[in-house]
Order: sequence, then structure tokens, then C-alpha cells
Amino acid sequence: MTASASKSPRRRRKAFAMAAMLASLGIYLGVMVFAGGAPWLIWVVLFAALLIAVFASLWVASLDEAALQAHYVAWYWGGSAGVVLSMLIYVLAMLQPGAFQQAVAMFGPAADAQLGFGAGVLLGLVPAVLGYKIWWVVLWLRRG
Amino acid sequence: MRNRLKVLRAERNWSQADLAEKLDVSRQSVNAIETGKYDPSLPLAFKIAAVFGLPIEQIFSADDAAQAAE
Repeated sequence: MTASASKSPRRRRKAFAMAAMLASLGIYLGVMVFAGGAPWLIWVVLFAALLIAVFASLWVASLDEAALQAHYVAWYWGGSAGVVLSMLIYVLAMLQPGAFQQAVAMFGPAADAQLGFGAGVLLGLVPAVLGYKIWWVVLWLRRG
Repeated sequence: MRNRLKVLRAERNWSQADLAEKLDVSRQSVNAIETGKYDPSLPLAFKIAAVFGLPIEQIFSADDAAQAAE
């Protein structure tokens, strides 16, 4: 018997959840790009976020215990390293406020409160998620 | 934790993917267990024992127990 001959129910659930999660993310990004500013946008965004959360939960539930442990470890170490990087960037930005404002101004008016809030959220989120993914890829590759 | 997964699998001419299919886990998980990078939970260890038709202690042993036996 070969594993490739037939997929187990768990692997089918995993594939479905992953595909649905990516499709939801695609809809979310597509709507954000092509319908930015439309009044109904908030409902589409909330619905897409709900779909992503549901399918992400299904995907996590379909993982086997070793894969789940790898994600936990990656999130703990990679995510923590990302948060430390965020703090470092924040401290550097406080020491060099001019340079930081110039960097933010590349994306819009530096005094824009919404832009500042968005930059703050991204500063906290992006390094943590990147750190998690990098850690997970290294861990998974080491496991062969 | 040490284990005899690779030997037992070879005796039965099973690939890692074959064993993964029987255990309903990913091939990477089987490799991680075989190489000692991941210690399985007790339920998975029992499942492995059932697949090979052996008691758990004939498949897994503590590092110090294996050293003492040598």
C-alpha cells in the first residue's frame, strides 16, 4: 500500500481547510484592493475574516500531534523573536523620530492618525508572524 | 527516548509514507519520531504498538535504559 494511492480523511480535511482558508484570504485581499472605500466593504471584510477564522480552526484541527507541536514551538520562539524585533524597531524609532516619520511618510501623510494606527498594528504583527513562519519552516525542514 | 521504528519498518518493508498512512499522521511526523526529534504522545505510542503488533516497551525505551542495556 502506498500513501499516495488514497488520501486519509484527515489529509482530505487538511487540504480542504487549507484551500478554503486561502480562498477566503484571496477574497479578502481582492475586495480590499478593488473596492477600497466602499461603504459595504466593512461587512465583506468581517465576513471574510470570519471565514478565515473558521477554516483556520478546521485546518488546525486536522493537523497531527507532531505538526501541531511544531506550530506551537514555532509560534512561541519565532513569534517571541518577532515581538522583540518590534520592540527594537520601536526603540530605534524613538531615538531617530525623523527617520521613522520619513519612512512612514512614504506610504501617506505622516500625521494621519489612521496611518499611524495601521503602522503600529503592522509593526507588532508582521515581525511576529514572519518570525513564526521562518521558525516553523526551519523546524519542519529539519524533521525531513 | 529511543525507538526501533526504523528497524521494525524495514522488517516489514514499509516506507515512512506507508507507516504514516497506517497511523494517520504525516510522513514528516514519522521521520521526526524515528530520528528522535519528536517523542510521540502515549495514545500515538499505543497506536504505533498496535500497528506493529508489539508491546510498547519493545519499540520505545528511555535513553538511560538503552545505555544500561548496552
